[in-house]
Amino acid sequence: MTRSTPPAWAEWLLYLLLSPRDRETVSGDMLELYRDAALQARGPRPADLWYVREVLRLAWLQNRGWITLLSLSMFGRTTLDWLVPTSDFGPRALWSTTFGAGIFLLAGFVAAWRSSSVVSGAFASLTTALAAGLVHSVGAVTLLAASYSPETLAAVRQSGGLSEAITLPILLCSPAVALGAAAAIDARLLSTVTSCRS
Amino acid sequence: MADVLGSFEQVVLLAVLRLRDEAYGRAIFSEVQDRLRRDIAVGAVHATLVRLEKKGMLSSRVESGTSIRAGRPRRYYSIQAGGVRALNEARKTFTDIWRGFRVPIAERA
Repeated sequence: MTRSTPPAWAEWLLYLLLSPRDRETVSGDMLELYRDAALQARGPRPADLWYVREVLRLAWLQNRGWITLLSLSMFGRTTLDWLVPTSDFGPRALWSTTFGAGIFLLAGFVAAWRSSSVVSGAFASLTTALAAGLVHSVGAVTLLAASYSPETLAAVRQSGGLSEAITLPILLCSPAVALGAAAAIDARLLSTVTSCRS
Repeated sequence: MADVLGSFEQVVLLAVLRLRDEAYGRAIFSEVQDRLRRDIAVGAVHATLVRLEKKGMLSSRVESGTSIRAGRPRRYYSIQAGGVRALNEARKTFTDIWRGFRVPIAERA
């Protein structure tokens, strides 16, 4: 017998992204499209891929602002370190770390406020970290190719090396989840206090 | 003055108008996709519906679902006076912008 439901984990992610008000109705619309359009026209596996893609597109739509800001910040920092080297990375590191942490906190807070879910806040920060890290890695490799010279190579080595720039998405995952979850807990507490007062 | 509508918002509002009593999420998505003849994200239509409802251009009600959606409810949308005003304003602006041109505009070498 052919399975007629999308992957359970993708449905769970969809629930995380939606507000409590829209969870049942929008997931119902998605299920209807999955069964009525995707499954019949494409078959089970492409239909599953369609469903997952739609969930990821929703995650992108909700977090694209944070992803863009974090990508710009990370790429700006790398560009500065590689093209305008310094002997003291302290001030730059302080600024970029503070900015990145702020983005994770905001992404987590907003997502948890919208969805009333702490897990959703952590997931929003994780999505932001992974997507921005990926953009940064591609940008860093492109930057190195475009400005390849002994001086740039020396600056890359001095600032931690190319491997650090490329593995950044993985390095960011844990702090992103922790900060996103912390902000999400704050959002839930604030939401509870606000609703109690009103 | 009516709110200025984006082009995607206009497409979504017109889909709700066209579908009348059948304007729920999945039907609106299919109508928008058919009209624009391109790949549309379900999330983009959903976000636009939420935004238009917050602006007071749409209202919604929830009704029970069918077996194809595992009994999950449907949210039906109706256009409000603000939505009609905004659509008329958008159409007028569009007509004003194009006034004086012969359509289609001739291509110059």
